[in-house]
Amino acid sequence: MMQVKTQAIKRSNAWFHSSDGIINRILTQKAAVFGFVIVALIIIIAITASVIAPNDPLKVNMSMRLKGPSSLYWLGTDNLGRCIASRLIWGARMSLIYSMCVLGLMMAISIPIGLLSGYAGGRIDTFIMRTIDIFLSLPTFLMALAIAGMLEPSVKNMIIAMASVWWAPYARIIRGMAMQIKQQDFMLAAKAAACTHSQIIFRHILRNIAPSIIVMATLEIGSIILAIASFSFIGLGAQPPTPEWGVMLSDSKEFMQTQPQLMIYPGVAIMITVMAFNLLGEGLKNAIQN
Amino acid sequence: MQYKTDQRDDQAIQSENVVLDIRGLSLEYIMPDQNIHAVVDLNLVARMGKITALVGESGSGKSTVALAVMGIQDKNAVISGGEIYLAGTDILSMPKKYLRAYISNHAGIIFQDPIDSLNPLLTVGEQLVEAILIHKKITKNQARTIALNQLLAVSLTQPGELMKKYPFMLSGGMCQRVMIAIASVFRPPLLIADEPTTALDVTIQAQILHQLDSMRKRDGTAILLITHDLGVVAEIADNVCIMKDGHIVESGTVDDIFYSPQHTYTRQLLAAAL
Amino acid sequence: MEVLAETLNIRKSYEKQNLFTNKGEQVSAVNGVSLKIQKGRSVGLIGESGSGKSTLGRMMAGLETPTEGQALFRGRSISNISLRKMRPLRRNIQMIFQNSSSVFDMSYTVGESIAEVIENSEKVSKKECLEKIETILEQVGLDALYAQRNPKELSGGQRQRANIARALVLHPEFVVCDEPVSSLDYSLRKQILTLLNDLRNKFGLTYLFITHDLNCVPYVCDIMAIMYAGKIVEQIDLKQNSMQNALHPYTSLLFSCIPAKVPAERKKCTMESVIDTTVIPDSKHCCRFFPRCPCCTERCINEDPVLREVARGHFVACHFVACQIV
Repeated sequence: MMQVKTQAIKRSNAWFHSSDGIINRILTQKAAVFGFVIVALIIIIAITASVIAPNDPLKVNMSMRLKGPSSLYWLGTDNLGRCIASRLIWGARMSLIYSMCVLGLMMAISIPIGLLSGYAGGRIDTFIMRTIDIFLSLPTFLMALAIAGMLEPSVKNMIIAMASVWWAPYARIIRGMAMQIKQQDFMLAAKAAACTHSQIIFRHILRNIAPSIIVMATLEIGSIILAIASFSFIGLGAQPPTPEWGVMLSDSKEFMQTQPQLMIYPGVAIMITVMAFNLLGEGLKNAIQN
Repeated sequence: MQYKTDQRDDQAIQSENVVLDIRGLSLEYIMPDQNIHAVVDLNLVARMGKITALVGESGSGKSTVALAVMGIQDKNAVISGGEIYLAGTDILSMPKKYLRAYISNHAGIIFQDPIDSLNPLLTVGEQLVEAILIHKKITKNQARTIALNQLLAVSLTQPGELMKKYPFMLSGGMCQRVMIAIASVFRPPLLIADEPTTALDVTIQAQILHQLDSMRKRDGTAILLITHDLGVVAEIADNVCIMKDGHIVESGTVDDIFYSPQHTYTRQLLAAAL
Repeated sequence: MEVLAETLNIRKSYEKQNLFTNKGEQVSAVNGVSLKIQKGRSVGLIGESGSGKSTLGRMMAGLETPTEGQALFRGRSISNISLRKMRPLRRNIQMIFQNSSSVFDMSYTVGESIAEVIENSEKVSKKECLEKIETILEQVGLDALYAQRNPKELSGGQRQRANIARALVLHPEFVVCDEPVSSLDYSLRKQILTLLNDLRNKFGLTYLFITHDLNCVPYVCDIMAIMYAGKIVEQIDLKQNSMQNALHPYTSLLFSCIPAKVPAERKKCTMESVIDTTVIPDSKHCCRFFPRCPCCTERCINEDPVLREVARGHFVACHFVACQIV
């Protein structure tokens, strides 16, 4: 059985030292592969938006409004004669950029706070946890709405509003993970190896919880994209004429009955993107946990 | 439902109080690149009222044998040959629907880490009663009485109080006794103990070994004791099988093994004793 | 002889909720231990689970803070000092942990884990660091190639050797070994104990060797200390006395419970039924062993015995034994 163990173990090295291990495990899950492919496509579309978009997404052409698909306008035009396909493609870029900003800001707040709280323990931990409790007791979405509503409606303010409320649950999860790692024997060993506090936090705790944080982030992007679309839909985020999917939904709500495709296209785009990120996130989670 | 044994007139199965007779057992783990032979052509006999020790290092496959006898081996572990006669019947050729009931009526098993083996969310009483009710269709109160008596039989005082406790409230030694109580509640002819005292202190180990010894004297249970500790073997075993890399390299009575070991590996093991 | 490490009436206690009355009670894991370890005289600390030996070991290695009392190293207190002040002492005080698999951070290779120890205490070039790693790995019996392996890939015995390499790479003076062979296979124990003894002689180390197995003691220890319920109940200098002359009833019990070496030495065991092991709170003054002691007297239930010298280098904390000697 020793051979069994050593051979089985050889195939599943620590992911830092052999990324084949983790990629292999993702590749065996069909759903995750599907998610990964779609996400990769969306990212490529977003990056090459200026190249692959057939037309200028902002160009208004009233003579061509509400036309069907053609070789020039791949998905037709909207109520202002703008190319829907181009707007969708640019929308991918917008959604990804905004959601990455929110995610980045959220993690930048929650990771240090969670790590500090989990590692330090004692009064610092109690103080931070009570603060988090306050944030958690407020309805996050409404809070974000309120903040965005108080400030001038713009993308920047929306990002700030969302991040300033959504960091709390993550800080708590990260704190929990840090506390769990702190219990383990190798923490004592790190102390015995004369590590400073910051070495312990960065070299040991953070490195061990990084995979879980990445999984959480990937799973969260879907929700963030939805939230951004929702904010833009009610006019508190991206403003028209920005080619953002939520804005597109908002613009076309008057035409819901007569020109349903104007809502369906951005709706489906959001749905596919969110689903793809969720599938990828689940796949990562399964790969890391096994 | 009683499964009718295949009436073979092979002497060894029926006579000499043989409770467990493993013949030529081979087991492989199916792995993506190649199969690992965990157990190769293993022969082992456990007799009524005797303690048979299966000794080997980690990785020798001894625990795999125990799991195979109980029918709870890994999903990717495939038995590629041999027979396991448990109380006269080959369980490897028994239809699946009778297998579980047959094995649980004729064999019990206790594992290494007693606290992990018990369900942390149920009290000791609940777990014991559950084990009893699976075997016999009796009322809960009757099961409770049996449970109390069983706890006394494994030398646990104040069984009434103990039944209400959760596993985390008990020490390792007490948990192991509860495990023995659960495994032997209906006096199965075979009890498999997979490294039962490795995780326990030396004074508790002595008590548990004494408990196993008195069980076999009192009930005639055949005990298959799996261990890597030759001290435990010297203390209570009657017969010893030395296992290495899936093979039995030597077997005999405990005196044979300790006083006239034949195989180099056996001699190495004896020399490595502290 | 120079005193290397010492504890001054050290105590580590915690609040235990009495599950039945819901009152909090102070219970000590380590209940007032004053132990002196001299340079070159390794001490074996023997006790069962719950005796507090691991806690004492961690306090003496400066990895845990005592509730009362202090642990000293070369006369300086290491108990309540900050991590920063403790760092320079780390090259002289190290610990070999019990569970080799959980003591390595699995996201680093063996070599990286050892390098961490070296780089934190010494300014060395990368080349020197690698040389040190190679040397220590060879000295513990592992091929230098193991430096690139992840600890998960190693067998139990190899991992424990890597653990020892990590602890001894800087040649510390004082090493606390917390049950280093308990999680290993029976056949590997002798090898690792012999290795530890060889390294002790080679590097001039002093061990605090914590174990529950009396058989390990002769391999690495000069002094044997038996611990029960947070106190040292017997201490024997093995150079001047034999282990067999142990007097404390608990030590006798431990000896009687060691499994036989050969079948002829089997004991006709008359084990009593399970003893209730409820922990006695600190507030009660008594000998903690009295519920299990065959020689228990009235005095044992009301008074805590102290360590008394009964022969050269032989100390026992027992009222019964003290009466016999007097």
